[in-house]
Amino acid sequence: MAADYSRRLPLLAVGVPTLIAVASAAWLLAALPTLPAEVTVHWSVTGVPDKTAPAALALIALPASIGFGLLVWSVLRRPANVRGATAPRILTAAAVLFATVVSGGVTSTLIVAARSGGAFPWLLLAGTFVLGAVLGALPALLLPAPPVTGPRESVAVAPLPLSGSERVVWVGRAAPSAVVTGVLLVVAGLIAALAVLLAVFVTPVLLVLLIPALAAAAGSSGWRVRLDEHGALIRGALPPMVLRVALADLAAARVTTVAPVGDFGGWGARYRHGVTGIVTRAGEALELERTDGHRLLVTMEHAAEAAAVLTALLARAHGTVPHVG
Amino acid sequence: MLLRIDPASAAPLFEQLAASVRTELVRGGIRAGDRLPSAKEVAAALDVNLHTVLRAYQSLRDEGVVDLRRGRGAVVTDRASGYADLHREIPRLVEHAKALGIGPAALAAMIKEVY
Repeated sequence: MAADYSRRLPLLAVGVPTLIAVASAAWLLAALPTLPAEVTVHWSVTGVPDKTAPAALALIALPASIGFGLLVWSVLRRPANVRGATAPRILTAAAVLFATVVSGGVTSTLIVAARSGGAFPWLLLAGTFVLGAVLGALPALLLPAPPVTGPRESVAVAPLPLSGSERVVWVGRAAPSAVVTGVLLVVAGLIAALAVLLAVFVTPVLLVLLIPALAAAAGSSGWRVRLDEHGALIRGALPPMVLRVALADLAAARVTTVAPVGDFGGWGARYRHGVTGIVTRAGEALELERTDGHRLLVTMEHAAEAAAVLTALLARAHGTVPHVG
Repeated sequence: MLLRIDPASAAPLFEQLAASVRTELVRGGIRAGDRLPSAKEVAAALDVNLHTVLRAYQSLRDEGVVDLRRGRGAVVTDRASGYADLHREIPRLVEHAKALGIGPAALAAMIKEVY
């Protein structure tokens, strides 16, 4: 099953979008001699043509479609990122839908509009969305479940040995690796550049694409974690967020393992099923359970030590260890 | 990184704090290039005087373990990796001493003598 997943994933997430993009580009290149030097590339909200450009401009959809597929593949190929089959299937379908709409949709819209005198082919564009959804559903169903399918497990740790009068502070960082930070910043730049390029065709695309660009930039920054007698303090630079859990509101501190896509649908400051996640990487995370039942997860190195510190402070506050300080 | 002090101990708090940083250096909890938390943050977290923390950081700077720069805080120098290397040699020494039936006090005395 696991081998099937790693073998089929690149075929479905990258191979299928590449086929769609290349076929669209081939169609455009074949049609190019029969098209006018400049075709309508932009319509007003009411469907009136208001901008023309060389049809070959639509070829920028080719790297965008393949690039999105590569991005989906690079995220899903690491077993630590995924848990269960749902998220990989949705993302693979999204890669195929994106390629169909961006490559096939843009190409066919330009060609058909040029041949029919400039009117905006609404039905055709709607049709590419339907086709994309159908084409996306098929590979998604062919994708087997990834290796890890069970639920996330939390583990209690032994408290740090602490005398009654001792005071401690634990400081750590929840940050992606330098490589991931670099990749995220490059991705943010590329998406922003693509947004500006595509805005030539459809203005709202600019706004829609700036959101993932900002999300990618935000994911590259780190979070600082401080644990002491007062509780836990988690601070982020981008977005500028401060999360605080007072020791009195803390029920337990444990260690768990986070699969970013499988557990939270991605990286960054996340919320899912009553659990808040500060997710910067796959792997070990500190889990804080509040007395009201809400849980906060922070992915970071040395999470076991952090949990041991809080467990000791909690035990002392609850009188399990006499406080003489 | 874990910093700990015990007000009930006889040793001055600033010395305890500096020792705590050194322990983290040899344990690998702090590495060269890392930045220590700001003195203000440590003082608030441990409920001690700001000058106590500053004095601890200054003594670490005098040892050459951290660089104190205005605006950048206390940054751990390359010397820190030397501390970790030294620490790795100790288990072998202790093992050897144990095999010969030498206790910790006697081993410490032997080390002092060599100094």
